Amino acid sequence: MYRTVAHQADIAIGVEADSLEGLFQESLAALIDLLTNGEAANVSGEELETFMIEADGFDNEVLLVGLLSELLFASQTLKWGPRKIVSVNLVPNARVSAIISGLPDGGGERLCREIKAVTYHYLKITHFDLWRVSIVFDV
Amino acid sequence: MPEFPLEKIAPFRWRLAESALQGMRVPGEIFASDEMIPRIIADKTPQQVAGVATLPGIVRASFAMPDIHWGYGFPIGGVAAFDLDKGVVSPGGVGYDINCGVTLIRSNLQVKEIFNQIPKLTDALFDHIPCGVGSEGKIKLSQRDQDEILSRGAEWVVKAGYADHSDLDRMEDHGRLDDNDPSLVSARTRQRAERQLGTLGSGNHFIEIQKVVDIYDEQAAQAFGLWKGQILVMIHSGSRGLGHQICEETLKIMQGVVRREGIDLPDRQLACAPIRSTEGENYLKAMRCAANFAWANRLTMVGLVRQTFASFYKKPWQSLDMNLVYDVCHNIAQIESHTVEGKKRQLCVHRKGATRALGPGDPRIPDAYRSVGQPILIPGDMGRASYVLAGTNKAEELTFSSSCHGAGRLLSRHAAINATRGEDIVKQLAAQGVFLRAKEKGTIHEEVPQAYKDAKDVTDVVVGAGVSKLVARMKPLGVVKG
Repeated sequence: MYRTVAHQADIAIGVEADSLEGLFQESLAALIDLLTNGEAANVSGEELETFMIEADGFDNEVLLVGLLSELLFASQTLKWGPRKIVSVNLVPNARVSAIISGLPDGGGERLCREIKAVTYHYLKITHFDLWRVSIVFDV
Repeated sequence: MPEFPLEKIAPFRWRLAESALQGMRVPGEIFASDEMIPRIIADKTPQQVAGVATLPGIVRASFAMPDIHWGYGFPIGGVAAFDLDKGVVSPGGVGYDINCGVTLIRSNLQVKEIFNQIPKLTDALFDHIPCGVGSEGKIKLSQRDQDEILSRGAEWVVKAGYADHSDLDRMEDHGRLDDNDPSLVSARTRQRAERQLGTLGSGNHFIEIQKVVDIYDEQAAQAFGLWKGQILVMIHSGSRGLGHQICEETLKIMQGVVRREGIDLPDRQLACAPIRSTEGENYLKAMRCAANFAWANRLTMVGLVRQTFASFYKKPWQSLDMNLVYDVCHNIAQIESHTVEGKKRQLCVHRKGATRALGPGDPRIPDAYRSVGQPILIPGDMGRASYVLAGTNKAEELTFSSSCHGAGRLLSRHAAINATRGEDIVKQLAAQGVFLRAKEKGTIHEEVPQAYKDAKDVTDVVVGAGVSKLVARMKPLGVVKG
């Protein structure tokens, strides 16, 4: 689950989930939602394929920025049109990968918003009752 | 009591004491009017000014220009200089859009002659210059072209025939930063840039047809080739995906450097490396490649603007006098010589949303402008005025030769959308005599004039503080947005 948070120049979201892996999954889903202006969840009848993204890093925040940045690259440069998260595989503080379903080559042409980067701005994954993180995207 | 108390030390200058945040090595200094201060405090931007002041090797103060607003890591409008031996370089202090900047093109067209043609001219620019989400240009760059652009910047554009050699004299650093290394630019970064030369992008980037409405300094205006009633074209863009990718990749590397060096940061976006380290030097070399790409990008668009006007008026651009006034960059880290406590020192000056502002006599200013100071180009919002200022020698004394870079955001993108929901912004602007063409509807609402401070208020501060002088005011007539 995610919600948008006010940020003066860019876009910020707050994400929460029951597990750390879930937090990564929800963050990816939130980014797809932002990129497609919510339309990814509503499309049907498309012939979807899957693609994998992965990142490594020495802590979970580096992994999260890395994974989201990979999704941006796949959608905005390689022109994949992301639709749904199939799975996330996380080795905490080491590496993470995700399988995404979407439209290959050209599906990314239908993106509604350009998100230029995922920032580390006050990025801190916390865990009390739920896993939480706030992410600021550069637009 | 505000959380980060500001003390007025001179007209338009506010000091943030070193005690405001644990770990501050120097004070903060914000340039602002009395009226701006409550908003600056409410936005908590002094917190970011204080955060920058904690970075190792920072010299004199963490400065913020009056267009300051909340960024990430560094505030937008931030200026910070670092000692080359003890200091750090921070990609966050440059920003993702390395060498985002502004170009101004003059003409011999008069507003009274062409006012009715503005919608068609704007349409023609919109059609000819790729803009918007993921926009791609017609120029596909080979590996060899890319290498040349990354190392020679705007010179490649001249060589490729999109611009004139005389343009280079009217660009900051002649549109080229040396001591670069294209081999440090990754394959992925190159892939992002493959089709982006000569493209505007989205967000706050724009091309505007403007008219000069006021001249405040005849001598400087004459030197810059500006006169009342004249048509100008302003371009605001940067290094596109290439700069973003370099910043992104370096930030990841520098997260590790910060851990290795034991640097305590209030915000991970301030990640940095010692300037003299391999990581610091590599970032500076790659950043210069991105800066060169940005200059090549803007100058290519200058060529496309000239093509558009030449085709529209069926005259060569030279006979329309569409020469560059100047090109400035406002997201950069530069090695510069400045006087600190009476001694000349080499410093790494970060400007994130701030413009270099050289005073009269500086040898880096083109010959034709040297007696009046460097042109500083201040874009306003799409409904109100933009400005041309000139640098002063006082800027060297007060701000490491820096000035503001634009109006600065007032409302978040969400707040701007909410505030204008249901309004026909295109119609409202048309009623004010501004013709708007935009690729994305959402961008129009995010970029409404009320989302920004009035550039007049911002320029009043830098002029009042003596770090710039007012030369000319322009109003938008036609606006192209991504």
